[in-house]
Order: sequence, then structure tokens, then C-alpha cells
Amino acid sequence: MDAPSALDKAARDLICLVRCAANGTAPDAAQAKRMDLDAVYLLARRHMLSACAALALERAGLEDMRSRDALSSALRRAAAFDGAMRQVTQAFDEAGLWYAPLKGAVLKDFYPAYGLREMADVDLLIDPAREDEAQRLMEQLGFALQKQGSACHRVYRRGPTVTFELHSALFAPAHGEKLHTYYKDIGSRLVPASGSARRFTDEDFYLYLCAHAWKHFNAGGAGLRLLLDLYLYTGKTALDEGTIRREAKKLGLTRFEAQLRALSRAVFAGEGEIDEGLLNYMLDSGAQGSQAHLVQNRRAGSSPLRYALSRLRVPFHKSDPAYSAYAARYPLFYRRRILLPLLPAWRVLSALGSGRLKKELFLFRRKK
Amino acid sequence: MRLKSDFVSQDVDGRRYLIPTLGQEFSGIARGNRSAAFLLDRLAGETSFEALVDAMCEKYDAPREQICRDVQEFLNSLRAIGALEE
Repeated sequence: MDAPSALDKAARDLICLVRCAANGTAPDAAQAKRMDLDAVYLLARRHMLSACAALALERAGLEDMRSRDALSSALRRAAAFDGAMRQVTQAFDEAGLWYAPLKGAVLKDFYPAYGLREMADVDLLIDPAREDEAQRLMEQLGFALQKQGSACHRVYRRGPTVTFELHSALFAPAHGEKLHTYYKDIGSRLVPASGSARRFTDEDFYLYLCAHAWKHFNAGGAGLRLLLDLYLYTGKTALDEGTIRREAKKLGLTRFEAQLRALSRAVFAGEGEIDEGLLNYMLDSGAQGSQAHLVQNRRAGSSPLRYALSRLRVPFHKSDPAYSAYAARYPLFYRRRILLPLLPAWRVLSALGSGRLKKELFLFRRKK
Repeated sequence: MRLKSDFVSQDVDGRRYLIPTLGQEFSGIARGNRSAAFLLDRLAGETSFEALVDAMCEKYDAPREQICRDVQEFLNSLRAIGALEE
């Protein structure tokens, strides 16, 4: 079933190309020649689907510099991540430090060809009790700690392209009580793999993908690549539907999971009706989410004063769900608590300096 | 001889790519045809020049002398990018 005409042409063309790449088919050559490839590649980059688009275009006989660059860039990045992953997992195995690959580190093997699942980084869940030791091991391998990404993960980089995110937890309290509580002890549900590696059960991994998507939908949104992830994962994995229904209910994600799965089948397999509203939200979001959606989601139902107060609010007590995230992001203010009342002013000044405040005000005032 | 472990050899849509994984001197990507893929598959494990030539002679209908030259040229190209362990 074709995507409806309410989508702009670049979006329809990108979906057509990615569908072909995913299903091992070639796009119609005449149709491909009519595509505005500049617009398609631009949109593909936003959704981290350039390699998929390039592969499909080459199948239609439209190999050019852009397709070669997109594919070679994706292959190089995939190979760099693979090499680093071997070193990191070997070090963790030798130290007996358990880890479980997350998201792209697992999903890449479900894609029809090497390198097609583009990633910005490699995500691993690790033993939360040994986070500092993991940091030492990463530093021995030449990685530098970039930042404490949140209370839940640390970001490491080596060279210009290889980034690892080591997660000690999957969801912080700020992501919602249900998600935080459900995933608090996920380590005990992981299944041993080889060495110190552990893995999710198939159902747990799928549910985690949905929960992770939910987290992003409530922030800046998530893009087409997520939909492709779900399509390829559910297409190649026999999931126990009873388990999915039961656990999705516990997570409060029953409807969301069903909508996303149905949309992925509609877009990439042509089954059923396309939920245009949901698809357009994802197309607007891009792979990393958009600031416009982030502001809209934060603002939802708020007056300007309430919105401003919510953005300036500082959690003072550990019982506040946002406390651990703020403490990780502004350690100086939380170590010397006498400085905490100054934190709102600091946040305004740094947002002014970076231009974020101006952009956020513009997005807040813009009608939906 | 064998392919170095820090090179990845992968098929994408019928074409074989050879990509370095870590900070080697060679930072490009090598792309090869089916014969290159055939040889790279054999170089995934320990092998020898003679074994590669024998395998190619079994698969392809060409004079052994020509196959020897082609295999030598292919191995030289791998050596040039530092992909061969000998």
C-alpha cells in the first residue's frame, strides 16, 4: 500500500527506498529517476537511513557519488564500532564484568546487510556495581569519558567516531515511575550469553525497544529508523504474544506498542492503514528527536508562566524524580548545596549564551 | 597466511567489501567481485598460496598459470593495504 499523498514527496520517496532496502527488492527505475535525490538524501540523513536509501538507489541503477559516500561511510563506521566492540567486550570478559548489548548493537544483525543499521554510538548495559571499574577499563583502551550523560549512563569516546554509552540503568525516575520500577532490576532477568555477555530474552528486548521509544516520544520524538527497527525485529523474531500483552500492560504501553507495530507493518509491508498523524510526527522528529517536539511536549497544557517555572525548577530533595539527573548534570551545584539556589540563574545564562533560550522561546510561541 | 582479524569482510548486495576496523594506516574501503569474495572467504582461516590456487582452479575454468598470476596480484593488493597476516 503506498504512503498517502498527505506526506511530502521526499518522505514518500524515502519510505519507498527504505522499504525496498528492507525487503530485498529494487525500486522502479523510472520512479527512482523522478525523485529529488537532494531532498531524499537530506531527509535520509536526518533519519540515519542514508545507507538504506543508497542501497535501494544503486539497485535501481542510480549509483553516484552520494550513494557511494553513504554506503562507504556506513560501512566504515560499522567496522570501526565492531573493532572497538571486540576490544571492549574482551576487556569486560577478562574482568568478569557483565554487559548486555542494547538497541543498535543488537538490531544491526537484523538488518539485511552489514552497515545498514546506522548508529551514532554503541550502547551497553553494564553491572551498575562496577561502573567505576568499567570506566578504568575503557580508559585503558584509549577511551575518554565525555560526560556523565545522565544518572543512568556515561559516554566514552575514542577518536572522532567511536562513542560508547555504558548504561548502569535503563530508565531514571524522571522517565516515569512505571518504567523506572519495571526496569530497576533488569539485570536479574538477563540471560547468560558467552563470556560475561548477557542478553535480553526476545520479548524483553522488544518491550525495551517500545519503552525506549515511549521515552523519546515524550521528549523530542523518534524517527523512521525506529519504525524500521521494529519491523525488522518483529519480522525475524517469534515473539510470545501473551508475554508481550501482559508485560506491555504492566508498563502502560499496550496501546502504544500496538500502534507502533501496526504502523511499522503498514509502512514497510503495506499491511493495513497508515496512521498518518503518528507517521508525520515521526518524520518530523528525525532519528534524534527534534527540539520543537521537545518544547511542545514539555509545554503541553501549560500557560507561559507555568512553563517558565517548570523549566526553572530545581529539584532539592532526593525524593524528586528529577534529582539524580540534575545531580549528574550539575555536580558542582549539588556537591556544594549552598550554590543550588543559583542554579536556575546559571541555566538561564548558559542557555542565553548558547542560543538555546532564544530558540526555545521561539518554539514555545510558535503555534502547533 | 590469513586475513588480519582487524579487517572486516562483508557482502552488501552481491559485492564484497573489505574494511579496516581499527586505526590502521589504510583507512579506505576495498570493494571486490565474486572471485575476490571467494578468496577472502578462504583467507578467513589459515591457508597458503597453493591452496588458494587449487581452490580457484577447481571453481574456475582457466589455465593454472593465469590463476596463479591473478591470485598473486590479489594477494599483493591485500599486502599493500596491510590486510594480510603472513
